[in-house]
Amino acid sequence: MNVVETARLSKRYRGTWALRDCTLAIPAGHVVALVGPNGAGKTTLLNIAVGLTTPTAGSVTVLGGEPAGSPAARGGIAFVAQDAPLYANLSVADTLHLARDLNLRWDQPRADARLAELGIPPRRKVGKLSGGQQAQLALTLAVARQPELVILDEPLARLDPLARHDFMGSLMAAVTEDGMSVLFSSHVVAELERVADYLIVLSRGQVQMAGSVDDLLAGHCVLTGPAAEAGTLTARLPVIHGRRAGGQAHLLVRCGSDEAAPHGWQAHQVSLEELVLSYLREPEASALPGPAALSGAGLAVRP
Amino acid sequence: MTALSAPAAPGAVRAHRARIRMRWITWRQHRTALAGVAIMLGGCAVVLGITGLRMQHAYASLVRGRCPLTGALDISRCGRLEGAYYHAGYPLTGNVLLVTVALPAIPVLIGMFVAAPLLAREYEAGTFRFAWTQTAGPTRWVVAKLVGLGVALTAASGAFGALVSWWLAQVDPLASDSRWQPAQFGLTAVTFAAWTVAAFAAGAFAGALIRRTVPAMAATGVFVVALTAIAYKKLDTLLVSAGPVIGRTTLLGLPVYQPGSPPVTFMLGQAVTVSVPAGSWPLRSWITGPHGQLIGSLPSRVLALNAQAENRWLAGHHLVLWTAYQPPGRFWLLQSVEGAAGLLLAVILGAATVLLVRRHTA
Repeated sequence: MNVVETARLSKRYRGTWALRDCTLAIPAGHVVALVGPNGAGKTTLLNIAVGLTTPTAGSVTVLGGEPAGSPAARGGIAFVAQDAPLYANLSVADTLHLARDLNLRWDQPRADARLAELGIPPRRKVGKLSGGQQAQLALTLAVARQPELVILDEPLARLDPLARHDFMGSLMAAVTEDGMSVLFSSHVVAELERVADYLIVLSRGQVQMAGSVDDLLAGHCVLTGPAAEAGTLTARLPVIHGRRAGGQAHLLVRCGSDEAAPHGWQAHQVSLEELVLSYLREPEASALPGPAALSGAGLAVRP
Repeated sequence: MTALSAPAAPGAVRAHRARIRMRWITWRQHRTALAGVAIMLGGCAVVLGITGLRMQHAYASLVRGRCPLTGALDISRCGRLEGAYYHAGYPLTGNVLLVTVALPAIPVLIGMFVAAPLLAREYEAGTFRFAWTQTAGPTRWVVAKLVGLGVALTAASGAFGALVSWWLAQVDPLASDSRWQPAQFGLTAVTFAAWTVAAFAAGAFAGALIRRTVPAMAATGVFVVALTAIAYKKLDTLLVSAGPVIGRTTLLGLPVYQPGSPPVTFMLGQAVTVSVPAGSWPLRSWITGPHGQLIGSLPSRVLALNAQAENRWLAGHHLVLWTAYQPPGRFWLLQSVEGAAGLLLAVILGAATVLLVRRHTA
């Protein structure tokens, strides 16, 4: 089952395309990171998936074929918007009451236990909580709904490093406990490896790279060798991005795991951060799953 | 507890209850605004209630039965008694015009402070992203709030309008036609409730359209003030003059006051007063001669005659007096027409608000 599936999805705001012909399929059972520079269309894509925005063109379904924004889709997807907007003048307990009344599935004991564990006082006004506590409360509200998919828009953007660490820990604990799918956007590329096992890179409103983290890492390597030979190698191999330091050239290349490096060159494993940054620096390059390979096993090459 | 229509989640489903509830949410999020409305209406109601009861008491004990409408009138004594009665409701009775101008501000304030922030604040704070992505969804959320608050405000403003009508009747117990005046026609239970709910819907619509609280409040204020002005200046005048009953009286002599309920009278020229049924709203009158020709007014030399001579003159000239008026039985029919207009506007604006929200969110 695909938790989100789009076909030629496009959204235009006052003459500017936020998304353009965006086609993607996100399989269930993953923690998916949606990365890309500011303005790449991440928020637009997520808003469309939860039914807050209507696409200009194209189609989108969620949870294995439900139209985005339909009652069934809303029932199965919990959304934590950017900056986790909650009612600042409501108490924590009232916010839980509100969410309980707005949903058919709701696990109050679990929400209470989580907040007690986090040390968030139920009587305190939401506006008086710290940024980290507000984010944790928003996550608690999402998890208590027992959704099939949790979508989070930039959950880490305004958290300090400690709160960031705690938040991701909570999210991963919830995933382990419930087995729900997670889709979160982030422009922070560091630390993704620790949480995400599936990656989508969005650039200029289109999917630039998508696949499971393992497959993407296995499908790329860094070749290090003399800078003088870099030109001939680039013509021969699918080089994504190259950089030179001193006499050495470092080339990110799409390669199979069992391929041997060219003579005089050394092959290294690439880190996820390096991989993502390289793609972001080369918006023309793309690595997408082939038609029959949603697991990301085969990488279709697009010039 | 287990009849879930939504797909089951992985893991144990500990369903709290399989029903979406909006009542508590509506109350919790708008109780401050509703308390403000309650204080505003309640405060006005207390003042109107006290002065109204004092007037009623003063009229019953001072004026009724002591200042006859028939027979010889002791002008100075009646004036003194009516002055004492009138004073019972002072300063409101001295400023009835001010009261009838100030009270229509209530729907304006309700539109601005209760309705305009209803959606504008959700958009402004971004909380709609939280509220409308829950299972209940945006449509349920907006419809429940509009209907719940709309019904509560209709009930409160209807009761308040009834109190205002009662109070206005105490101010001038002799003039049973005063309720037809445009300023008072819009302050009954029916019309006041209708314009209040229309103002509420207008505020909600402005909030959905503009999505910023302060501009939405300003737009609501301007719109509702304009709406009220149109209702009082145009609609009321149009309604009370619509399809009047035409009365025909052969002018044989001056009509006299009837004992019992005071007739509504108005002057024709200077000498001729015309009666229409009590509680009617006289619109206009004219005189035709024996051949049907319109006679503008009685000749001035006739007006100079004494009553007896004038009666003789009238009897010899076969004049017909025509009067156009709204009979008292029409009052609530015309009220319900205006009420329906306000309610229709409210329903249209409410539906447009729901459509705007739905268009914005899937």
